[in-house]
Amino acid sequence: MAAGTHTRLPGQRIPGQQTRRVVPGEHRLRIAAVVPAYNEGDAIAATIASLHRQTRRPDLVVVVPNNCTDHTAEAARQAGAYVISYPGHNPDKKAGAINFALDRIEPYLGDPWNWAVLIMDADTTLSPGFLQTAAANLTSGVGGVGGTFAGRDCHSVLGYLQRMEYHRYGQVAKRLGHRAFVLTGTGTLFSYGALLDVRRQRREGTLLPHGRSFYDTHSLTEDNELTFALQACGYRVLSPAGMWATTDVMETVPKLVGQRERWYLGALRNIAQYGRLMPFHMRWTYWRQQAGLFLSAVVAAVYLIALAASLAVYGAVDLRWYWAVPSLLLLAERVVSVWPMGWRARVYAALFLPEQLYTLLLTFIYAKAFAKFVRGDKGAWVAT
Amino acid sequence: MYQGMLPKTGIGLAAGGMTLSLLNLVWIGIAIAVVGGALITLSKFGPRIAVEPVPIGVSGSRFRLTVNGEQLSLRRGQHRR
Repeated sequence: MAAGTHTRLPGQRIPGQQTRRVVPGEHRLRIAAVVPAYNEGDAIAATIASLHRQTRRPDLVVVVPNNCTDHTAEAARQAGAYVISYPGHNPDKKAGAINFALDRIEPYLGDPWNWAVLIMDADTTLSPGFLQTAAANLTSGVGGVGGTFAGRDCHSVLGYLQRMEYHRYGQVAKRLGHRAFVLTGTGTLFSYGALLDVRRQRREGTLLPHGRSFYDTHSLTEDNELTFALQACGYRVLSPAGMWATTDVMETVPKLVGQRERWYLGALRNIAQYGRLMPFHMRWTYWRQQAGLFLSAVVAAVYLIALAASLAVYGAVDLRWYWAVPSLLLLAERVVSVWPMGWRARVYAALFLPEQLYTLLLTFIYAKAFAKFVRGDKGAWVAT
Repeated sequence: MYQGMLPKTGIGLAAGGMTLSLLNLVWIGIAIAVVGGALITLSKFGPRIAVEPVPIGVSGSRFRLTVNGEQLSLRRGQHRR
């Protein structure tokens, strides 16, 4: 080591250290909403209106139009938002736009532990109690409180199957003690102090892979990566009940393939990037999730091959009544889990075949993403 | 020549037999997977009970018994209060 220089060793950190200090009566949590927007001129007014309808309204609403060729900025301004347009071309897409806005507003925010930042998509509307619930849960040690996404109303079967999938995801969160798998980009309230901590840890490169800013601009799934970063820094991530973020669904197969391939590939690449920087409890969750997806793909392939081989060799499939028992059990679970959604969901679940085909399609997309991951294909971020 | 062919035939038969055995095992494997899947499905009707690592400090972990994601010891503590 050269004379006069020294390596800064990271100090011992304790859970909840440097998260929001809760001093009743002295400080009121203030909320800044940051909405990156790419050609959302038709949707942005509804998004901002959903923020104004909140039972706990944000103190500041910032819209960040980037790479836009439509009237997003004008529409946002007319709806009452503060607009910070990204200058020129934004090569880093959504993550770059959020980083840019957070850097711009940084000098105007006070004590970071008294500020929270809501990051939400421009094509999303939040349920009225979203921010109130999120703020109540953003206590000491919590880095972010994410919404549960719900699909918007749609006529297509494909879109509705996604709504059913999102509904079940909400039930999974409940069974995990409202621990979030991913702090969704559709709507999450972050502790601003925790975000600043993540940025500092990225720059130091001890707890996190090296980086420069709040969001990792190289990640295909920046919300998934930030969820990893917060947890690797020792923060908890929550997804409480009642925080609904209504978002778009993909109504055509090519659009769904594009969206999910990015999600799957992004998650795989993030896991590989973190490697053993992930604490064991994180690896237990996320590696097992990937193992489950991989196993599903293998089982689906074996099932299809066995079915084809049976038909080719014997000309028929020998069915016994007892094989129907697990299928009936699965059918019952499928119907019960979407029961609160109403008749349409119950009928689709009871028909069984639509959901099985949908699952098969998702498995195929996963296999495609996995093959890309193995080949080292980096993929590309595309707005969906 | 024929002597030389015998091991090859034997290897072929052994490989064929092993493949058939493997095929039989595949069906056993599928049956086990189906029973396992049925049990997993059945468990979704009740609370999620698991032994899983929970975070301790910044990067430490400990295995704990959890019910619906909450540590059993913490749940008991809350009830006592």
